[in-house]
Amino acid sequence: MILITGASGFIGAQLVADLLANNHKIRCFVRSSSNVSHLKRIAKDYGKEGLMEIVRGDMTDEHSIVRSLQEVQAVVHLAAATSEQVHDKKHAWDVNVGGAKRLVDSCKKGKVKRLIVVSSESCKRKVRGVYAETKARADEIFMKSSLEVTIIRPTLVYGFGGRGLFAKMKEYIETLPIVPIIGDGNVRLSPTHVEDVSFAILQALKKNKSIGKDYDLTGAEYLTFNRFVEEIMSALTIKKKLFHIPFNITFFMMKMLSLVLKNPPITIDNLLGYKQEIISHSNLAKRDLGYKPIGIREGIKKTIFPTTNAKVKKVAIIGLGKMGLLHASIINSIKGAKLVAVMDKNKKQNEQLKSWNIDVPFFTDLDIMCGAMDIQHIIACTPPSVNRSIAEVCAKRNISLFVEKPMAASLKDAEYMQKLFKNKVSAVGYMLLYAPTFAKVKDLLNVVGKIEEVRAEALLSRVFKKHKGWHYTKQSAGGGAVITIASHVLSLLYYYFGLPKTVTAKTFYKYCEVEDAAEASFNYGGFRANLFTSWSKKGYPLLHERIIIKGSKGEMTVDDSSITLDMKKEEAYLKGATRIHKSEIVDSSDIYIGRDGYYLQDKSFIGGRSKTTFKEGLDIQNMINAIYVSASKKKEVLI
Amino acid sequence: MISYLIKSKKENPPYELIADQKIIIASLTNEDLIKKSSDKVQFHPIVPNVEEYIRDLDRFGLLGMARKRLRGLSIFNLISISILILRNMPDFLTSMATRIKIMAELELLKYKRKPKRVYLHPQMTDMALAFDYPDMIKQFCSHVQGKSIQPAIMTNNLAEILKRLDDWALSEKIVPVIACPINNLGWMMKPNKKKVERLVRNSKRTIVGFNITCDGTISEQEAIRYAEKQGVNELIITKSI
Repeated sequence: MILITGASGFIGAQLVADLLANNHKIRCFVRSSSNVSHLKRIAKDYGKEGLMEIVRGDMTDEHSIVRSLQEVQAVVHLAAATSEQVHDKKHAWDVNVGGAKRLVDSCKKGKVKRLIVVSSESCKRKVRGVYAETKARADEIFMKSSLEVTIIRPTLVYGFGGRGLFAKMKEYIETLPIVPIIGDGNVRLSPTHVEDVSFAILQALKKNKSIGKDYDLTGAEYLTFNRFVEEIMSALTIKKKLFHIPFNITFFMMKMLSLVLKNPPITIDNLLGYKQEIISHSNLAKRDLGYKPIGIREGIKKTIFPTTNAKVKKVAIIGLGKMGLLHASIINSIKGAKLVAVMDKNKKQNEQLKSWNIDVPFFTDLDIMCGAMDIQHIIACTPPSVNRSIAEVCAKRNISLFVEKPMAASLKDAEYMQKLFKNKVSAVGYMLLYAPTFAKVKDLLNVVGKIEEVRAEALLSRVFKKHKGWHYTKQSAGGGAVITIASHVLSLLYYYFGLPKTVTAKTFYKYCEVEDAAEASFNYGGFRANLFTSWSKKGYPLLHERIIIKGSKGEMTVDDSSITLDMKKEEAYLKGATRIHKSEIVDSSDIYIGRDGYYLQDKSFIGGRSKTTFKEGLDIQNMINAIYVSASKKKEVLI
Repeated sequence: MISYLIKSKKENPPYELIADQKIIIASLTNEDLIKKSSDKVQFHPIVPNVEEYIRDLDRFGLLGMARKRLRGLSIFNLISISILILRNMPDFLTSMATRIKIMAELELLKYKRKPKRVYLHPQMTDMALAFDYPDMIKQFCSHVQGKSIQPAIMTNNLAEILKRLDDWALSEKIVPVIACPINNLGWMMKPNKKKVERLVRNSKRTIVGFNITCDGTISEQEAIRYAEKQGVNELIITKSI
């Protein structure tokens, strides 16, 4: 068992992933106020939940340290009051120096000999801030102890999920018109990638020759701060001017800000570190630990476009509107799935996702996204007119594709998409097929006997004046009320009864370029299914979908909340009306987000078991298309 | 303790018919109800009114929605909300948790008297859960607590939220009340009825049951009996008008 103090931090999370991937049993020592959900997620993604324990304690509380050391063979000590947290000097000394003493004493009491300490390059500075000073003192305590200690001193650590200098520079590059640089930017640095730090720790744990030594870790090369920023810009494909602010002015400004702000943009400790160039060498680590740091270009790429070794289904989302956000939340909740990238033509849409604390690589180009990331599934929440081009890219790269309903803006596009995905995993977002009541109807169709007539409606109070947006243009949406709100009901008619033979339809236009309402009568041979839809009907603040199925033995009415069976005589159900509320139907989703059906729909797609693949999607598109053809020709048309 | 959640699909529902229930769980969709109720009625608001925001955004656009939200606020309240926004810059622009906190404040200003309890909308709680976003709940609860109001969260995923509150280190002091579906049919009791029943019985937090009659599938008496058997003494009954 390996104990990791400060496991919930940036390096800790990477180390947890690497130790679990190598089947080590670990115990994470975290503060009572620390969020550990990301650690649990890592263990879940690797399928190694059984190998990880979490204990809450504090480096200022020796009892908690002693308790956490039971059955422990080695400790990796990462916990520290970092340079971002040293506004409380007393606390920093208590955690970093006092904590070191307590850890050494506790290890002695618990008979734990092996200790890997992650320190900092800043200890080597001549002028030290609180963080550097306390870390240097702690190192002395560890080295003077009789324990088997290895100290690792990385330079500036960067990587995905970090909140340090790299993250700040990336944010400035992405958001500011010019990029602020302290001083002339010629100071040299050699940032260490977090994966390299974790690798070195793992090797130190394995190799006894590291005992009693301290190792400097650097990146593969030294480069000026100006070039470091330019490399980030190049990876982000952004070109902006650098704006150099004299060091003394920055120092004064930060000194002032640190009096007012709890978290100033740069701490005085960081500034001191920035000013004092330290050249370290990782030759000893290379020799003893087999340390091979990655180059800055690769490191930056890994940071901006992170990859995971976990055996999870890697999912990307295109289109970050309401539906994109909903799918993102669902994917984030499905065990074994991971949201790895998002794409939207509009850069601002990413802010929406970020505001929910989701920070995944964002792209504005699909080809670039698929080239940069390892993606297995894509969920497209885009206007139907765009789906064809998305399908082309996904088919070429063998990526499974889910498109929100309807499948395409035209029948021709849908046919093309179906051909592309003939032997590939695909899905169209007809989620009512997964909603408990609507799904149950399929099992109950026999109960009402021979079908005589079907009435279906999809009504909403939304459009009472001319509207803007892609939903309201023929070119982007492909249509109006039929395609936007009635396509769900059409998917149900198809699910229950298959493809009709003919349709006679009328469309009504009042407010928009696309239809506001429509009537359609589908001929199924033995019976007709009549549909009425409108998004300009008063009294329906929420979308109302209802299907009434009249059969020889009785009638069945279904909506989102219940199924009502009205039987002519007692058979499987009593004579008269029987209401089956959705609460009485078994629902197999183990989490509820958004609305009934969404979770199961996404889970089915990820599992490759969708109820509506592009094959079914094409048939439904055929029904939609036939409505428009019939309405324009004013006659019955074949489907 | 029983409180009532009034729901209506009508555009102008006859709120006066039910305006004298003792405790009403309300959102600003029921603005009329809030106005028409007697002073004896206590309100436990559900904030923010997510569906309404989305609908208004659709119908009136961003400016129209903001105008609608600010309508009826006194100059004093307008100034206080502006100060709150300024004090929360730039987080207001980048953090949903901060925005929700301010939306909640904006809605609370519309109630005549300070409520004793405020619920975070289940959609917000469940999105926070899905996005693994503790800040949403943390900021809401501490803001509400700072106004000496008891914070509560509503969720459709009790088992998952309890586990996550523990992971997020949000104790029962921070989140003292959770409302979730409790009913004999096990409807919306995720992941399953047995697990939720066990968690409810062992929870140190106050659990409030909602969806107790499953839209009238179970009688009120039967629903109350079941909930009480599980040790849930605070219930929300939905009244559809």
